[in-house]
Formats: sequence, C-alpha cells, structure tokens
Amino acid sequence: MNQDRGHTSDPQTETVEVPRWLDEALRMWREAALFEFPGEAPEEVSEAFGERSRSAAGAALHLARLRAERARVGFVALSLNDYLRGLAKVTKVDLAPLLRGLGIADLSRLSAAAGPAWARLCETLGFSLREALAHLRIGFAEQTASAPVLMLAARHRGARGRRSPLEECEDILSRLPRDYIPEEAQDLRALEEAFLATYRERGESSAEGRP
Amino acid sequence: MSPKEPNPNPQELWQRMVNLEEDAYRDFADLFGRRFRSIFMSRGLPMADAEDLAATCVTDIALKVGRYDPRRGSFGAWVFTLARHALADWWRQHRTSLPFSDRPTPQPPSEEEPEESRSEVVAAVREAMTQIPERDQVLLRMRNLEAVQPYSAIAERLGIRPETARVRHLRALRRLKAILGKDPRVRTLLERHEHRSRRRAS
Repeated sequence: MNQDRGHTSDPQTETVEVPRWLDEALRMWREAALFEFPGEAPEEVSEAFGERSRSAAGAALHLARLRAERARVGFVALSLNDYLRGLAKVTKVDLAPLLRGLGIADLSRLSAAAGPAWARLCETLGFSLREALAHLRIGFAEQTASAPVLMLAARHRGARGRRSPLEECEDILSRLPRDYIPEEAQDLRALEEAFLATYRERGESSAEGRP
Repeated sequence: MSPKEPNPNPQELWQRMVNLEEDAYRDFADLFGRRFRSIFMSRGLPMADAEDLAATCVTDIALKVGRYDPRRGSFGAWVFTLARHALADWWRQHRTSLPFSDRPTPQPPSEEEPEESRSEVVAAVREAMTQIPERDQVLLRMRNLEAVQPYSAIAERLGIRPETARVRHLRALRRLKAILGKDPRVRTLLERHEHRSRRRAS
C-alpha cells in the first residue's frame, strides 16, 4: 500500500483514500473558509459547549475590564488581595467565580500551591513582574509590619523627594524586617519562584514572535 | 439545540471587543468557539480535549484582541493563526500521552509551514474548484468543506444512493487532484509530502 495516502474516513465504514497532500490542501481550504468567511458554518455544537464558550468569553471580558482598570490606576502599594478587591469593586466584576475558574479557590490566602495561577492572573492583568512581586511582598510584610506599607511609603516620601510609587514601595519593603515564621517564609519563597518561572515562561513565548 | 450562529462583520466585532462590549464577547464565543472545536477535532483531538482547548482559546484569544493589527490581514485569519499556535502547543504537551487508536494518525499542525505557502495552497484549491463541474463542487463542499458528512447524509440531501455519492466524490477528488497536481502553488506542499514519504521509506 502506498504510504503517502491519507484517509477521508466515514463513520459509516466507507473509506476513500486520497493522497496526503490533497487531504492537507483540502483541510487548509476548509480551515481558511471557516475563519475568513464566516458564512461557512461548521457542524452544530451542543448547548452545553455553546454555554461553555460563552462563559469562557465572559471570563475574558471580566479579565479585560480588570486589566483596563489596572492600567488606568497603575501601581498602588496594596497587597495583591486588596488591590484585586479594589479593582473588582470599581469594575463591578464578581471576582470569586472568575478566580475559581482560574484555579484560585481562596482570594484571602495566597497559597504556594496556587502560585502559578496567581502569577498567570497577574501577568494577564498586565502587572509587570516587579509590580506583582511588590504586591505579593506587601501582603506578607503587613502581617508583621508596624503600619500598612502604603502609609509607611507616604511617610517616607517626604524625606526622600519624588520617586515612582513602585520604587518607594520597593525601598520600604527592603527596609522592613523579614521576621516571618518559617512556614510564611517558605510560602513567600515558593510564590516568588512561581512568579519568576511563570513570567519567564510567558516572556519566552512572546519572544518567539507569537502575536 | 446549539446556539445560533451569529453573523457579525469580523472587523466590527474586533472593534466592539476592543471597546469591551459585552455582546461582542458573546458573539466572539458563538462565532469562533465552534470553529476552534471543529478544526481541533479535524486535527485528531478527542472531542473532550478539543472542547477544553476550544474554551481555553476563546478566553486567551479574546484577551489578545488589542494586539490585532488590521493592516496585517483579516481578523478571522489572525484568530485562526493563534488557534493554530494553541494547537501546536497542545501537541507538544500531549505528544506522548495519546492512547493507541485504530483511527487515522492525527496530524499535528506543521509549524514549518509558512503563512504565504498556506494562502497560496488555499487560493489554488479555490481556483481549482471553479474548474470542475458544478455537481462535483457541491459534493466536495458537502463532504470536505462543511461538517464532514457521511455519504448516507449527502445521498439523502442530493436524492441519490450512498454508493453513488461515494463514487462521485471519489471522481471529484481525482479531478481536483489532476488540476492541483499541475499547479505551481501546490508544489511546496507536494514536495514536503514526497520528502516525508522518502524519509519513511528509508
């Protein structure tokens, strides 16, 4: 049998053999028609799949709204949880189901296990790695710091002249003692590593020239 | 009953999505979700995986609409390119975990295939279609362009016997093959397949 043969297979057992190149040319034709000429409709889909698609698009819309608001607001020295809650309130996005869909069960706790999911969320919302790490560290620092980082940054601002809010925050964070209990320290380290790995991975895929 | 196929102008749809209009995102899902599913299944993904990947693509591609540049081609073609990339990533992750099956070997998208070559092949097929009898065109559209239909369904629609539909389809494919085989725009594709054939034989 000629190896260079493809199949146009039929659920009813008939099989017509066509050369693979022709099979591929016809597939290209079909795919181009489906995407470039919306009049060509593919097979019907189930109601359940239709709903799932719409729900996926709804998640995209909510994320896009959060991202647009984040771009407008810029960096504010809040913990990741507080910052996201604030964005959600302003945009009227129901955060809990959106986060559950992304694999984040509990907004109030940044668990190391959910680190990659948190990192993907931050990257999707347009946080730079520096900003994301600062938000992450603020959450941990505020558990032990004497005052909220936002307030410490404002207090510090008067003494050192004008810098960007992110630089001010990073400066404050570097001065605060990191006297976490071992479990917290371990969680923070794991989360930081997950953020670094996720941002590196995503950065690499965009460096490959993907649109 | 599946959701109704929307018929928005793709360029307008893109603009409405950039403006974060809720309806636009729903239209995007209805228009492209089923297309993603269809191409993923035609590339050999099991239905459950095709649906998972299609839903992921709806979210991921909808989130990237701001990066689309209308000067570089149609919105549909851009969406299709991203879906192909997602499929290639899926294959990379699942290459070794697919179960054995007696179905034809699934064909991963060929990453080395340049976009220009793809457009040329598509243009050649479209042109070749106009050179074959109308009756053959109808059969090829029903069997290869619309959802892949069994011959019995085609036969019922055309009022002929399933065997007749099968034979006519085969003849239509032969005619198309004869025309395309001489078309220089298909040469790269042909050579790639000949090369693969030789490699397998050796």
